[in-house]
Amino acid sequence: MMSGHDTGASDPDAAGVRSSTHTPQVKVVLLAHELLGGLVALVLRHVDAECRPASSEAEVKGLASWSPDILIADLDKYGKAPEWTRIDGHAIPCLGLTRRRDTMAKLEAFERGATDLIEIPFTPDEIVVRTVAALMRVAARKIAIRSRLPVGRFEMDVEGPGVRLNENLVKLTLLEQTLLYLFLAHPGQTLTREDILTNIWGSQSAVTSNVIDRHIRDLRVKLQEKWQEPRFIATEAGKGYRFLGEGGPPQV
Amino acid sequence: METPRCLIVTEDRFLARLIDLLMDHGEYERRPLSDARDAGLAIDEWAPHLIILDIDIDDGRGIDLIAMWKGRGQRLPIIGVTRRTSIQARLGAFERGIDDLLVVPFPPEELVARSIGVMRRVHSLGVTFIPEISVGPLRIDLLRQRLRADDHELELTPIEKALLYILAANAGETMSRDQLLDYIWGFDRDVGSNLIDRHVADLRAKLGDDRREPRFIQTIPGHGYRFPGMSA
Repeated sequence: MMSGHDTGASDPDAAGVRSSTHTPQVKVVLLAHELLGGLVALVLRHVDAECRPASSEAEVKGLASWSPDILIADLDKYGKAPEWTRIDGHAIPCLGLTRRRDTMAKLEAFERGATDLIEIPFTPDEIVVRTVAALMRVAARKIAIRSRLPVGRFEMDVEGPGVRLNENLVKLTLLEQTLLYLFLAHPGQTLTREDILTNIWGSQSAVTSNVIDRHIRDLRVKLQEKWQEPRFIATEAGKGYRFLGEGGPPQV
Repeated sequence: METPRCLIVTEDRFLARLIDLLMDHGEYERRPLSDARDAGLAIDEWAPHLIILDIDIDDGRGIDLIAMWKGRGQRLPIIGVTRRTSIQARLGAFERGIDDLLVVPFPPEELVARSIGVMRRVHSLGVTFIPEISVGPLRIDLLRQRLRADDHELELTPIEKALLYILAANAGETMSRDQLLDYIWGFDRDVGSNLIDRHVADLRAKLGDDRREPRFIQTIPGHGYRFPGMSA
């Protein structure tokens, strides 16, 4: 197994600048709301993945010439996606994301052909592990993992819930880590509490907007943010939050 | 069709009982074992259709059993459970051929769905999903997330459901708050030590359980909580 090949912050790919000759290690078709898709796409930079969005069977088929390796779909929105995996004559694995807790929904997803399922909310490492495992199991592929990923001024570590900022290690809870990935994936964009709850936690979750506020407050404290002069996370009154710093990859 | 046989291999007795109770949702014949050698013998003699293997047994050497057991020729699906959260440890299990892997704690329905899914994929065996099971006088409906106690039916939150499963699976044995937290899935685990107390109180209120004379969840002062051993 190849894994944990950390690279320095000077790696141009890692900083989000891709040369035209760059060939991604994994090609992913993503069927998800932009907020969720952006989060998954940023996390999958740990396996040097390139993600392209789709929102219908026709769009998935339209990406056949790109030769994708895996399809990752929000099954609550695209329930038939596991049936769309026959691309260019061969089937690729399908990783399903779901907020539904009921057993039947999961069994149906497996019946339709989902290779694996990830329950939302997920932790970033779960996305990495299940993607690599699906490619290993279905396509006999070995995928190298870059545990540490420089994104803007942060160095994210998918192996542990912590982040490096200006060479200092800041310990985060899993939830704070997920929120930071989410912000980094959407720099400059206002994320409403409702968007975060609906897409990242799901309506059946016990997590409420107060919980989101509390964790964002904690995250700010850990990042040594000042209320009056935020460097990273600004509050948009009556709307939500906006990440001010440098972000991750282009949006999907 | 013969009843599918499921071998449960773990040194963790609380976990063994939880898995055993969860497998009630799938109509399996079960055999829980805590020793790898005994499990190896059981594979030959009992010919299980499914193994649920705690890969942390033998100080983590349980992971080596995957390839050993997979190499025996028969199509023997193995679902791993582990507390090791490192990416390398989990991928190591997949590299050795494990069919699926769950990190403890996991939501109850996760093991039920994945075991039925694996049985269908590997054996083309349609294991019947039984949504409702009995625990003493209680009926738990995993599909609808509801509980029937006496004549009334009530809805469970995911944490209450997990709490009920682990307590009921270990009926008659006291579990401390920390032990309970170890088996209850929840994304936000940094919520302080009163999480269990709060959810036990909610669950009791829903069950109409009297704190002084509880029928379902007893407080053992200085130790924790216990679901009394009871017969249906």
